[in-house]
Amino acid sequence: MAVGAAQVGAKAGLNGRVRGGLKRVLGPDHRMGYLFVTPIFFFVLSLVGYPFCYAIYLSMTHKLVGLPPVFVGFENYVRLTWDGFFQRAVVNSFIFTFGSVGFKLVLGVVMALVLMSPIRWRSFWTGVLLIPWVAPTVVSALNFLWIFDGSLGVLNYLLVRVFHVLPQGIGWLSEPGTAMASVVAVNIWRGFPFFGISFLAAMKAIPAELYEAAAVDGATTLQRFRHVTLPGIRNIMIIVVLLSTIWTFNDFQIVYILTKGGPGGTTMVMPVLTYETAFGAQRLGEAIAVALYLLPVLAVTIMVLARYMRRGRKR
Amino acid sequence: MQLNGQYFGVARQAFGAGLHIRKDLLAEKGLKLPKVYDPDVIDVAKKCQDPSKDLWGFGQTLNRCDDGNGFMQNILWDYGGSAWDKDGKPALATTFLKENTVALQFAVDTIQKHKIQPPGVMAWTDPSNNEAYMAGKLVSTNNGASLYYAMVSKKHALADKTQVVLTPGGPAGSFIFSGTYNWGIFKASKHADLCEDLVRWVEDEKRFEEYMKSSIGQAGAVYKARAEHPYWKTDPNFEGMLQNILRSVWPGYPGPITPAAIEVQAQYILCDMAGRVVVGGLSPEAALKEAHKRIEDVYRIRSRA
Repeated sequence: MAVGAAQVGAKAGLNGRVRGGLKRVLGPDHRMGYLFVTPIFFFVLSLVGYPFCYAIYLSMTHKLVGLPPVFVGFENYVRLTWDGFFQRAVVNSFIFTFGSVGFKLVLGVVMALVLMSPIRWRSFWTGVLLIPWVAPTVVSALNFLWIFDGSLGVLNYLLVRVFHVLPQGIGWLSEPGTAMASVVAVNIWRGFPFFGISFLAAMKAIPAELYEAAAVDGATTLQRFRHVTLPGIRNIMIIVVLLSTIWTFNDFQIVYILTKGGPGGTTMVMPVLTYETAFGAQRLGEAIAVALYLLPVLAVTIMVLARYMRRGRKR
Repeated sequence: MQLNGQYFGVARQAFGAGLHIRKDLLAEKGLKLPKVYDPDVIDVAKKCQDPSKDLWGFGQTLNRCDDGNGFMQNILWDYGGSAWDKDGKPALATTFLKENTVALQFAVDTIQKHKIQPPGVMAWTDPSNNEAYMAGKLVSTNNGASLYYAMVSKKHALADKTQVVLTPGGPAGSFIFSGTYNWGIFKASKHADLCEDLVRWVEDEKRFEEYMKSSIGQAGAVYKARAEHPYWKTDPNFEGMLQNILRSVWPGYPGPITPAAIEVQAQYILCDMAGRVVVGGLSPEAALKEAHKRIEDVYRIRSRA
């Protein structure tokens, strides 16, 4: 009995220390905290965790629409690895993404600098420059489909008939040299205002004293941009670039509306290939494998982003 | 309904189609209506087109869309080839390699060698040739009867200047990719009887006649009695559309129609094949072999289902 009482006492003491430790770490209301977190936990589990795990399972199956899935292990992934059409889609996705993000970065900085300078009707120009970002992508892409049209498009009309720059129109979306460049151009047009407006907010947060001190030290405009502005917007720049990389990599509408991945797969990117495999070929298992194939690359990007944001907050 | 492992539906209509051609331009040059692609369509296109005025002889995309799919499928058949053999197995770069190579080369030549197609044709989608034709930039284009319908219903100036003829063919004949519509009733439907009544009501000959007349050639006949209806004699352009329907074959021809044959259409594999030659710089034979591999994959996966 005496031993049992000692054990009970020791256990109670341990529980008390654990509780005390939790209290110290999580605060006095930690029980209430669990109550608040539990619904979110189940919400995330049911809407993100379960579909994600199910998608991974389906990507390892031979699943046709209307038929039950048959587990095939990594067969879909292995097949895709050696599929030339898929390989081109991967390469195209990287060209599309990094080509777009690179130009958006430069244009975004230029846009922010212009809007920071004392120009007339600055608010008006800010609004105008945001139009590509706020306009529905489907509408923009359909407009560009017409603009780029080889026979009826306004671009060829201007270059051939009005300015006489070219003797004959160019098939902007059909030539190997211009098809990818055209879809990248539309993505840049649509996405650079997000960069610009984010950089503008970051530039406005740079203390004016830094510029004044730099001016007193005799720094030129270029030197002030390099040593004051760029370091001042660096954090925002990294976050915007990472976010845009993820969004551009997953961009479907522009490529699908303009080229459907054609001609001959020249502009085929992963989201379009996923869509066509899922809804054209009706092979859901393989389509999910296409979508998940580069997940590790995107996951690393997201982890870098999350880590950077956390570090920024700690500072 | 399903009977002995086969699905049955009630056939409603086939979509009329044909080569839409500017008869006024042909008359100016004293040319006859084309019957085959090579040399007829090539000749007519070259003699009637005027690139300096942005008028092109032939508008037929090979790009990833239904128009591209239909043409690529037809041209293989026209030259005696196919993506499938009579047993429904892939034959693009095996049994029919020779025929398919000639067919693919011809399709590519319309753009690269003969230069009878407008710039940007490889980026066209389904409405692009309709728009270009109605804008007066094409001498000829293959299309469903919807193009003629649009011109007649809008009283477009080119409606009277257009002749619709049987889609041209090749050495093996003129083959048309079938586009038919059927009624089906889900067997799990709670109101299958009412659905059946509806089908009977809509398919009543008098009602179908009204529909057919207002569709201006689009509601093509799938029954002999409907094909012999006097309506098809009321417009000289209807004859080509009707002939197109009578010559249509299913995807998978000369083999059976199969899920694999349908998937090859859905994945635009034949269009990609043409695109790889025109844009990717592959030889026709290399593109055929590349596409054949994709078709074999589809066949293997579909055979397992």
